[in-house]
Amino acid sequence: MNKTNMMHDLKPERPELAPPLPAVMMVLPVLFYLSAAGAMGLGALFTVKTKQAQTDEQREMDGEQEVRRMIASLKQEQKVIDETHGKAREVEAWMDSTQPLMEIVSAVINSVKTGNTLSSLRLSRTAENPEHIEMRVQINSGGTGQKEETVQALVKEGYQTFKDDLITHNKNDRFGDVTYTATLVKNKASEE
Amino acid sequence: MNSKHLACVLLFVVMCALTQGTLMLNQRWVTAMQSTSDAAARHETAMKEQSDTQTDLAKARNDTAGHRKYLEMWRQNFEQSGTESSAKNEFARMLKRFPGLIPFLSQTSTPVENKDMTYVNRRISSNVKLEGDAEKTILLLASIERELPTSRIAMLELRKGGKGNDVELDLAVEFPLLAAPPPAPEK
Repeated sequence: MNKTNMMHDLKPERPELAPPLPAVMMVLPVLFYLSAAGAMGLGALFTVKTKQAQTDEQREMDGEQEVRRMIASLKQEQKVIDETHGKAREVEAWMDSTQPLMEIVSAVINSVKTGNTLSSLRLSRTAENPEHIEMRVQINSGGTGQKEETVQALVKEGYQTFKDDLITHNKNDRFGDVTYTATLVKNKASEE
Repeated sequence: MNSKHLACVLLFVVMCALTQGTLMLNQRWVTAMQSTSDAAARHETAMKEQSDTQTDLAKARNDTAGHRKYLEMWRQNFEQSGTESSAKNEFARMLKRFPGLIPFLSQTSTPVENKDMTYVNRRISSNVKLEGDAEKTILLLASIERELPTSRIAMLELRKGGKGNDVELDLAVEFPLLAAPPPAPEK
């Protein structure tokens, strides 16, 4: 058998001892070649797909890094805003505590009726509770009547008095000297 | 082993190698796909995080705009009198504008801390006792509150003075001090 073809089954030249394989078995080498070609084709395809996937992965990673950078920048801005807000709140708290005392002084002085006199006016506030203003007025003459006038004037200015105390030397003397102490709080509604 | 057997063995080896190679390449592809999918998920998570952060930031910007504007409005005043010496100078300058009022005791305390504050973190108190015309004294008080708006009158006591229309004034004014800015990084 001199004929050489692709389907040669590697059998050496020798007399036939057994009947040849059925013709359908010729498909085996064909399948082998196809498998080999298929394996190489699949290998190439997988390699290309792997490269493509790696490129995609790199792109996603770059994208993620870019997004993370932007997040860091946004967080930095957020931090600056939070710090500024914190400062603003402190400034606001301080400014709230600097509520002018002049309107109290004016109200008290203007409330003094002709003929009545004040010997002293003391206003103070603490850092812990600056909206509470401690007031002490020593009325020299005018007594409780003048005290009422003063309280009315303060109420008109939008102040509420509490912890009031009145010290008078002679309870029967409505026009004598009295010392009036109270804590004043600005009525929020009157500020608006 | 004859050459036919050898050929069969080689063939078998080649087939195994092809199968293994293909399987290995397939596995690499699957792994790469998985990594890509993971990276895409991480990217998506990051994008969502960015979107959330951006929303939070926009909300914070919006919510704090009023306060921040308020700070900008007052910052200059606070910085102007925000140190010990500038606060003292401003107060002294104010008193000098009323030469008719005679100060006979004037002192400035050492700074004390403002509780729970990190920016306006300290304050100093200037105390003065003076005597003079009642009208001028009232004018001084009004000027302090109008022209030194960041100051706070902690205590005032007006008493009848020694003569005529005079009054005695005990006054304690507090000035806010700002936290020192962090030192600039060395180059």
